[in-house]
Amino acid sequence: MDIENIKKQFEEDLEKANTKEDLASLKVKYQGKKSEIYIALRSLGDLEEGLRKSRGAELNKLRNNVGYSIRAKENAISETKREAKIDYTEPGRKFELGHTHPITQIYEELFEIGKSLGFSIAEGPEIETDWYSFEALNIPKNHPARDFADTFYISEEVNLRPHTSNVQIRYMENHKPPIRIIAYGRTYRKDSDVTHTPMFHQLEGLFVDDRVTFADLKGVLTAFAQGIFGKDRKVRFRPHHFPFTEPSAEVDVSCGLCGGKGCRSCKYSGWLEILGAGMVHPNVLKNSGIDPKKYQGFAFGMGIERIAMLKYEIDDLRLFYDNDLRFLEQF
Amino acid sequence: MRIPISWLKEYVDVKISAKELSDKLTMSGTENEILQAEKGSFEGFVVGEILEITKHPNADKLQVTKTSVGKESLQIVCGAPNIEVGQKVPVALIGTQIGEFEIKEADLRGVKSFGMLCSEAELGISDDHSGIMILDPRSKVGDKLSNALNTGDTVLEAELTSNRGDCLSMLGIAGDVSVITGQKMKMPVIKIQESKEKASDLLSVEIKDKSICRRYIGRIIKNVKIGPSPKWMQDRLSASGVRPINNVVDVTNYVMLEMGQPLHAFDADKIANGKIIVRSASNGEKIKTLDGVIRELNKNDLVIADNKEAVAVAGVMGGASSEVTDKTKTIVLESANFDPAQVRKTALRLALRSESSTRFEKGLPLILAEQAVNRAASLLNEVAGGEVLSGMVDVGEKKDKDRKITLKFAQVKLFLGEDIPANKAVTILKALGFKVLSKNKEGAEFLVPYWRLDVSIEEDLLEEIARIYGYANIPSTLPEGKLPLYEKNRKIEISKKVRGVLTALGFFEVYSYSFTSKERAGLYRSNVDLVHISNPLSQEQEYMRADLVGSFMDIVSKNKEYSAEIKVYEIASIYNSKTEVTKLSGLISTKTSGDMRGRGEIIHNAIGAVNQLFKSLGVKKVDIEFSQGNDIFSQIGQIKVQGKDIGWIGFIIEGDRKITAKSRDNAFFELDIVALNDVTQPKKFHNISKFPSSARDLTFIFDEAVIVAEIKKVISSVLSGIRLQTQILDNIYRGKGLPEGKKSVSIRFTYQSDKRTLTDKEVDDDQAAIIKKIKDVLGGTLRGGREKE
Repeated sequence: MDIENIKKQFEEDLEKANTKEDLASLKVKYQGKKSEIYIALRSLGDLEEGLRKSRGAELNKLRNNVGYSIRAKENAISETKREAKIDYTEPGRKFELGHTHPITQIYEELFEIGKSLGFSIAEGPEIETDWYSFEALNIPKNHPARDFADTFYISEEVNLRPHTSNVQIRYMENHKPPIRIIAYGRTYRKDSDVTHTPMFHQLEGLFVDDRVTFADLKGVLTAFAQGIFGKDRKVRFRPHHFPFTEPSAEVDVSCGLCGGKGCRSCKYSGWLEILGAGMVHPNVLKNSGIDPKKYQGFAFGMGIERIAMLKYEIDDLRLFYDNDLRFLEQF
Repeated sequence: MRIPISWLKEYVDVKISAKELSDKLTMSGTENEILQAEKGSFEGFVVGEILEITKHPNADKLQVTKTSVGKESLQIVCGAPNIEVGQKVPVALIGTQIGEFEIKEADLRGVKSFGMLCSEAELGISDDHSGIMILDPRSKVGDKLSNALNTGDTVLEAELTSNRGDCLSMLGIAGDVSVITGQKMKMPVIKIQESKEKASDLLSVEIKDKSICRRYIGRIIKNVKIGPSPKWMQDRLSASGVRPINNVVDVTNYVMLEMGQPLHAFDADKIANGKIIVRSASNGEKIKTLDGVIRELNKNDLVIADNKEAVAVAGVMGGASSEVTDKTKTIVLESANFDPAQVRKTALRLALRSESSTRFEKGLPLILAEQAVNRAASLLNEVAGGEVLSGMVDVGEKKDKDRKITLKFAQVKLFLGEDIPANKAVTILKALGFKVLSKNKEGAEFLVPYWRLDVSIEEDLLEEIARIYGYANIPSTLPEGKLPLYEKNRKIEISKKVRGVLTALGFFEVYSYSFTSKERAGLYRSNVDLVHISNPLSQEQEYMRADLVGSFMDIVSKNKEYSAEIKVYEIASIYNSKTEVTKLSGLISTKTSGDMRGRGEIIHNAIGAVNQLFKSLGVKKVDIEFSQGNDIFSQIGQIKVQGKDIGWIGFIIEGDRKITAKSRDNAFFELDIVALNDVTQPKKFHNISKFPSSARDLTFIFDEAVIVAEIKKVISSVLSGIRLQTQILDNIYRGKGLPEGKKSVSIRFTYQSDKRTLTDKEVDDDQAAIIKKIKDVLGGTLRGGREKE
């Protein structure tokens, strides 16, 4: 029997074998007790020594080769089959991640914008004295300006801060200009209906330097407003009055729903109010130990819930504090 | 403040559209909107008249009315506080659509209601939902509401800022309109024909304390004929939201709206001896006010009195005893200047904020009292046929001190950032009524107009210039100058990291109110001195919380129906009488499984979450020391890092305690945010060994009584230089295959050296030492071991 022929025949047969069954008969044909290779190996003893050695080596090589080739083909066939079974349209695994609250998400966006403009982040107490909540901010007792904040009181002299502006005073007491800070945190007013919750959140900004102007206030607040709502939104500044700033402004962005044409959500004005601001009143600087003759600055404050409601189109303020997981998992 | 445009035109020409006027006013600081009344068709709404009001038998806050709608009278239940018999009100008939819902015959706590009385907010006219809208008394009962409301006049509703008391008047608004539109002001002409008889013969005035009443003027008008005021006056009052009453009262209201000075008319015959005394009330003094309510006063209230009794609460409300009635012949017209703080305090305490008190609270110029009383006297003569007696009884100061402010022109650019030319700035101020006293290149000195009590410093002048020049005309620039060094905020930095880890672990962040009820304010810190709110909205919000356990239990109750497992956290402060501290609080709550295994799972999940948090933050050497719980918690563990207390973990297992939702197991943890930040160690790279590590798992059988903490302690007492890590695997097993009271605990040991490949013998020796020690000390027996590469 010619070894070369067996080899050639095997390669042809292997090529044609496509199923497990084909391979099984191939095994019988080339590895079985009746296979030519087996028979040839068995009959080696009949040969003379020189020939026996060389033919034995060739046969063994062929036998190994056959075994290896069949195994490889077996693997290839079963591999193809397994591959065909994968259903790529099956749903992906559900990873159960948590969620951060929308108030946090708005804060983080605002912090980012603030950092990019050189603002550090500061904080102050929620339970505050009359001085820091009102007096130092140029709001004396029985001043009608106290109307804007129906305040919760712990005692006559101690209250739950109605705004984060207390941080302005506390920060200025301990720092010299140039000052750029944003303050965050919980604030409280005695109000509860669809548009008011007794607790809410503010972001406060303070910028004090020797030359900063009202035009700078406009530039910085435009950056904040467009940073959070998008570059395509217009920003407008309206004169207003706050006791702690002079001049004061309220800031609106153009309505995102109607593009400024006027619709129900902007009360047909085309504008949505987002924050209050102004040049820091000289009395406030003085009360915080900063010389208003040398320094001037601006301050601003915004309600985080208001921003979140506008940005995410949330229509009921109370949802922020209901802690319904079906609300929270949307953020 | 409502601004009927037709009325405004009496003082200044308005040649632009209402929309344009509204925008210009808004952009110069008087935020306003056009009232929507003329826009609506009000389909299904009619004018009704309230015929009867009775109490609702089953509800304190509801009243039952009989309201005529022309052809018939309807029984309508109403919850608003402001209704009175005789009022004309908007009625939504059955079938009328209000927003999304339709008015139907309704049963309101046992009483049938056939329609609804409406507020301005319900009609979409304004945001006012404080009470039912009161219509002009001349409206025809049964008429379509659109007919009653559509007067053909456009009205602006302005929200005035607290500094602009002068704009609580048509003249004040007209002044601003004149400046922003460039039209001239037309001041009303005041002509009084006085009779010969002197007012001072009939009236004398004494002010006890001139610091709280700086000026008091009385004028006497005789022979008035009480009756309705003329239509033009009634129309203007109605359009301004003030109900016409009679000619005398209407004149006082009209002048208040026109000039901003509240006035009051007394029936002169009811003032004993013609003597008015302005004095503080005595403690406990009583007065029946015009609304029929008897009010108790104290020494901080200011009253107008004759020498018998108080006849009015100064600046707040008149008294019933001296009220102008149909029979009134002679009136005393009061025009005074009361202390703003005093009026405010009294009005707040008596809950009687009114058009009058609002104006006093903002402060009034002294000179206005005189102008207004003369204006009113001339009108009374005109509309009530009254005879104005000669002169006025005028006590107190006549005029405020002049206020002078210097503006340095250079400041305009330095402060506003826009180079507004000096002459432009001066022109703006002059148009607003400021007088130039002197002027040079550097600046000018101005006399502040008497009505601008809000202007006192240079910045006020800059504001006036900016708002008239237009904020929109000032450029937007980014600030120059030194950049302050960015300071990292510890709380923000650590909170951000914490949120990242907890989000990855499946926790939802929540925000809950800082205040709660006394019972729920301190469930862990039950002995703490709680912070009490003296004017809370309700008992449920009366105390600042000392921990978040109560708040979280509420969240569990709210969400348990559709969430088998609830994992939440909040970063918020807790409070006591001395301090407030920011904490990270977390909760895992699951449906109770009822068996040890289920309880074990929630406990280990919570501990696992806390451990994972520490690991991610780079916090090392964490110990949790468990002890018995308290009334609420079955078990509490103190969390220590490097021996320092930084928080705790506690378990509320169902059936054990009463504050939790039924059928829930809860694990709660709290960590101090600042302390957590402080124990966080900066991450440091450790060389990855080039030599292979080998892991060996050993499983021991222990008595139940042997706790994991003891096992760890024993293992660490067997010292080894090659043992890298010892990990108690979380598959602790009890049950089938093990004797009762036993558990199997698997421990994985990892061995590695930086310097060489370890030999089997080295590892075997260490294992043997551990096995022996565990057997000797804890009685643990080896169940079987296998090597793991």
